[in-house]
Amino acid sequence: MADTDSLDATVFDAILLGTGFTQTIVAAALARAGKTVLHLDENDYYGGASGAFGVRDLLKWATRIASTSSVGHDASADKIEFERLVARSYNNLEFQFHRVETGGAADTVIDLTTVLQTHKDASAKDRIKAVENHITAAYTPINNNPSKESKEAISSLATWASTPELGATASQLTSVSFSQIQLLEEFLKNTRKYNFDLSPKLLYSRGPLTNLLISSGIGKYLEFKLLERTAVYEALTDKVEMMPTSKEDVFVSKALSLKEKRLLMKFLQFAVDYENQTEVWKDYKHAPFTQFVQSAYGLTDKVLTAVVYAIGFDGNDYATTTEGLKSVKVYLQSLGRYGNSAYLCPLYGVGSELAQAFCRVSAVYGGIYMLQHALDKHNVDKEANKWQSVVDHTGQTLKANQIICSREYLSKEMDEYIEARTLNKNYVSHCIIVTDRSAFGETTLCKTLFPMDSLVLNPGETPVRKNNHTVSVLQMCGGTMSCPNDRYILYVWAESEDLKTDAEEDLKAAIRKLVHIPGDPLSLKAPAPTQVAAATPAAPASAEESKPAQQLGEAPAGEDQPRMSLDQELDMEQVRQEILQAEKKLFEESDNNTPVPSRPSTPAPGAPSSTGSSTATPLSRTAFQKSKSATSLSMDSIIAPIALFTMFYKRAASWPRVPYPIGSENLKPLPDNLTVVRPMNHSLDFEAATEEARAIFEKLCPGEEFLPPTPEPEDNSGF
Amino acid sequence: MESRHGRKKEQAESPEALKTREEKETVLVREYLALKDTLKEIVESNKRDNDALKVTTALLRKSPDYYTIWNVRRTILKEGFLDNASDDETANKIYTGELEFVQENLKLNPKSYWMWNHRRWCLESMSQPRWDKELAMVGKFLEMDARNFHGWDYRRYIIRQLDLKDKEAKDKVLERAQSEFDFTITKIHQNFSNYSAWHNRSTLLGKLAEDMSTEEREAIVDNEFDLVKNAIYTDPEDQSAWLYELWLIGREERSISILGAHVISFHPLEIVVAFDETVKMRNPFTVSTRVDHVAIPLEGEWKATGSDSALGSVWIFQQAPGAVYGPTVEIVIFSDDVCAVRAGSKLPAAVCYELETLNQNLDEISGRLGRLVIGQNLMYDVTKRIGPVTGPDGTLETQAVHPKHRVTSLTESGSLDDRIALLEREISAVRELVELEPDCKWPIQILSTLLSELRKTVSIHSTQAKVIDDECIELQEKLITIDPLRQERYEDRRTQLVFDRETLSIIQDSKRFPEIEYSAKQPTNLDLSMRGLTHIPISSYLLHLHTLNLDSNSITSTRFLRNLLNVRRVNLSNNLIEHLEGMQHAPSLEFLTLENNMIAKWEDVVAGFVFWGEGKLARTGGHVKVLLGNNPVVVNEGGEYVLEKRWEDVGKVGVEIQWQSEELRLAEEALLAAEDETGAVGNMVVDGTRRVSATVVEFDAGLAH
Repeated sequence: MADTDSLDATVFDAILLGTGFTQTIVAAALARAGKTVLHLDENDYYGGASGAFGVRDLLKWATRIASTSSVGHDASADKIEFERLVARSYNNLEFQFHRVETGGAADTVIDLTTVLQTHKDASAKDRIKAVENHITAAYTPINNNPSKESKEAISSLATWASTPELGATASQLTSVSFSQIQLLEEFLKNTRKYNFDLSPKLLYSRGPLTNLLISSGIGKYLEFKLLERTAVYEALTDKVEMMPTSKEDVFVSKALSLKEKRLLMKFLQFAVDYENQTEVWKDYKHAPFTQFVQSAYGLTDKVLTAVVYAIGFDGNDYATTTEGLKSVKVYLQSLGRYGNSAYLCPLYGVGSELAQAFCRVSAVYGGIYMLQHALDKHNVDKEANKWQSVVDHTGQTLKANQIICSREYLSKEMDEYIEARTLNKNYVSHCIIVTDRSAFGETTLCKTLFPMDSLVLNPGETPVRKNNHTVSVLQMCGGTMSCPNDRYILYVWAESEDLKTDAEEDLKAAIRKLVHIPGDPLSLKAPAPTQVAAATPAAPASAEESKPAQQLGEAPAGEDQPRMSLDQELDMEQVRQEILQAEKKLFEESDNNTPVPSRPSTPAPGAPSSTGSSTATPLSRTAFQKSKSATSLSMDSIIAPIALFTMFYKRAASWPRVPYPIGSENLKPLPDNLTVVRPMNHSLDFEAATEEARAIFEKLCPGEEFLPPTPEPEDNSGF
Repeated sequence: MESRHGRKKEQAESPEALKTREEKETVLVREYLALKDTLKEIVESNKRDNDALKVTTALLRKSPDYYTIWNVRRTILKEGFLDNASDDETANKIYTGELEFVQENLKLNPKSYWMWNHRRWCLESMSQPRWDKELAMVGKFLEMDARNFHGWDYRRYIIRQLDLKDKEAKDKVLERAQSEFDFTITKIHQNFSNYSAWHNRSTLLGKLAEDMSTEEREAIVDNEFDLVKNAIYTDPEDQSAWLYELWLIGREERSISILGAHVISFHPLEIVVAFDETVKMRNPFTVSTRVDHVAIPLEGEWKATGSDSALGSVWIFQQAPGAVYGPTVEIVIFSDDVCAVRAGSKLPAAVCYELETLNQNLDEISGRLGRLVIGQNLMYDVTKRIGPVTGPDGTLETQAVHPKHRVTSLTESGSLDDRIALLEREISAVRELVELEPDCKWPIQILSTLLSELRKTVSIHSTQAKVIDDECIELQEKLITIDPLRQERYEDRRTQLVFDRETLSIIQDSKRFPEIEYSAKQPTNLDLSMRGLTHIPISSYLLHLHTLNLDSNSITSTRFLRNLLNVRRVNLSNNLIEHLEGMQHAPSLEFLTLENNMIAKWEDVVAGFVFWGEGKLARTGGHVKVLLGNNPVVVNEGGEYVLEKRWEDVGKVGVEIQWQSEELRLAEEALLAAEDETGAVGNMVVDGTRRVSATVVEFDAGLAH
């Protein structure tokens, strides 16, 4: 589409490179303030490091990263080396489709050693072809009418087996099992039902980003689900425990004694108002938050400490009292805005949806967008230290007063400058796991924290190494539109200082506590078939909901947590509409002379008793209120989910901390009108990125309002 | 730039738009007023057709709280449509339409009484109302707002209707109660700050407990205590949970005690019966005299002291002129003869008093009537009741051999110890919370209530009672400081507690614990000065006093004086009294000190004595001295006396006002002090900086002619 690649105008107020989260906010704000904006991305998707992919795109992305060399070559200083710098950002990328025995039948393994050995010296293409034929021959007897996806699965597996550098694990290289083929086939068939997040995050219901989404009106584009619960791993008991994180939870909790409940509530009441009670915490200002909590509030008990941690942890393991209190306050203010939860989870992939929403606003106000637009080099006026223009792959020179970009879009020279100034390295180890059932029973959308020093990373070895940083886990369910209803995604991530350990080493200890990894004896035990059968709930009462029993897991969790938009806070109209719908249904039912039971006749085992509400479509507000919190705080008797797919990678998030470190004096500073956006951090929320975007905007457009409300759409009603 | 993505460029409301909006609003108001006029016409013209109905629909959409329109609508429906409906189906269609109409409006205004009311009318008028559907509907409304009491109330109404339908099938009713009970816990778990849910829970629990075994009841009560305790500890500021806790514990119902019966005059015969609280007399107490072993009724009249003679804690019997009594007079008070003004208390059994008339000693204490028989099988022969003394239900009024004591509102036990154990357990839990939350008013209030409950289980003279009283008083003082908005309430409660403590010498436990009666030896003087009292809680306690010192309190009323039949001197200086009342039955009053109060008008002084002269009981010659120094009525800013009016004859009472010098006043006080062992009467403190102006007013019944 050459036409779209050429631009009528080539001079702009601002050019933004990369549609990462921060840039998209800046782009929206600039366009909204009347600036002309050109926003380019070399990728064919929005979001950059916060992008979201279906199965096929994720595998494509992984293959691309794995096959691109991150080693610098003799490029000229002004050259943009996007692909190389992206590849450099991701280390130890590995993924695996696991061998899962289904229905008790033994899995058949196709050995590949011989065929690989035979074609050792053949060209890669021939080797792949040979392996593919070998697998197809073995597999055909049970698959005589192969689907498109089945063929694609075999082809992919053959490719990975033949080219190990593309990122499949060693165990996979020498053999492929029937179940792996079937699994990959199923994933490929459902590719569009998945939205894998590269940097999973959540929003505080009353945090800066949510407030911005509301005040600017941009939130209207988005739908959300509420995070249901937060769990914390306790090393002493070796248990993952659901934390009471709201007043209602505290009331119901059996883990806290009466006195502990009071102490906890007292602390939380203080935290909401901590800014007005400086006398209580000023002596602890720079002390660790945990110390303040324990000495000033007497929350010494293990459970209480864990609760405060579950509420106040925002990604920083060394938070000071000031930081900790700020974070607890945002949490508490967020509680109850939309329901009994402080976090919102956007649907269809977190980062990408938000990025697109901001891009849309930018476009409404005239911002020009081009994806998959390759860039060649930057032109900088060295004398004046001014960035002048960027040249794209068609040779067009695009000029602007300001350039805002993420690090991958820097020229070689600029990148070296940043690199030299970065003394402390920083990475985020990531893992994406797809499982066959929830790791938290009925709780489907939840986060879990493994505190620092709670996990042994090298079991059986000495000296013992423990996790230096909190490992965060976010479980997404079908309701968030990021996976099919019978699948769950676990995002696992942790901060990391170096590349001495790979992502798998950093995270595996935590993963083992939550899922069964086939072939890993240290992970949870696979559930016995009888256990699975017993836990599979009876068919749903209403016919439209019922589906054939799932092969690998329990019935879908479905939509018991409704989606919502940000204006549902006060919008009773929608609730009314839903009541109307529910009533219509009631009347219809009554026309058929079916009495409406006040309770479900066959309640699912362990289901929270929710009289009345189970008879009709759930209402938004109600269902928020009835978030499972109240009745299901226990994690006992949960059946271990099986890991079907895992992908590990370690993402670079380094950023200079010190303004002018030794050694960088001789380097040419970056042009004044160039703004480099920081890499996405490892925290659970978007707040730092939101604040950064605001700061950039305020620097570029001093005195202008940051994303004022967008006017209402065509509205002729008057009132 | 053109509009994109269906979005318009922003624009402020232009003056034209504003004008259009205002015009539209004016039109709306006009429409409403026109509709109202049309309705008026309809009502007057008796139109009962579809057009008329439409007008009500339009009006009710705009203003659903206009209840007259709902009434008009029902009339139109009934007379214009329902009465002509050929069959049930037609009628049902109309009602269903109405239900849908209400439902639609309820969504906009879920707290309108008239809409819920209209719904009830429809359902009750329908031949086959679908209550199950209603239950689902109201469930939806409670999901919208779990604290909408209209919703809860309506829900209970539906359940009642359903239960009525199933009144033969008890298990169905119970099952429904259980299901409703579970519903409350769902709502409470969502947000326990919900009066309606807790309240509904308590009523359902009572219903469910009917069929439970003792063990089941105890288990469920434990569970409820656990639940509510969790709520209380999570949020001690939440009143709804505390009220549920109080309901669970329940209040020990106090019985009415008769403090004593005394003869105060033999010619004519006058007998006083004092209760420990205000009671209403339902039947006159039976007074009879015995002639040859036959009891003959003695004619006379019972009257309570005070202006409202149907209510009182002190009752006086006056023999009718010409009536004759023999050597013994008996008074029988049956338990149904009185009822307490305060809900819950009653006289546990009949009481009989006997008066020996041969020894006519009028000393107050020895004037006490012998308490003869209490609630036992008594042969008694009066015209009204012959045979054994029986209660209103015909049973013998004997005390149960094994009385059941309340443990909680749902459980009882043969032993008082179970109640004590429960209270002690709850007290220690609440006490712990008070330690954690020293400035939270609810735990303190509940602790005080629980302690009062515990005090009901012990003798009033026990050490434990004293310790409890002292703690409760401290708690009230704490409450006054942390919750100044309710200061007066806490002060009244504190007054009661202090009064109880200070009057222990007057009262003792009766043989029938927990009832009380007058101590055998009555003090004649009582000093209650500087106790912070706001009122006299039980004035019948003070029946026998001669002198009473209430100096420097915060008393606002003198009404209590009506029950002080024997009092001669009362010091009420330095209080907050604005006018005098209750003197009618203070026949012995000689000296009343009212210095430094709030009496602003002369009429307010006199009014207290207007009917005093009528009191045939006046035994002092009808002369009383009142000190009124330092009241607004007698001083102005310059310290000059402004009381110039001199009343020669006020009603039937003569009045003499004396201006008395400071020296004279002091001399008088010294005299009084010498006369009185305690020296309690009289304000001995002379304020050095303020001029104390003393004024004596003397009332004299004898002056009236």
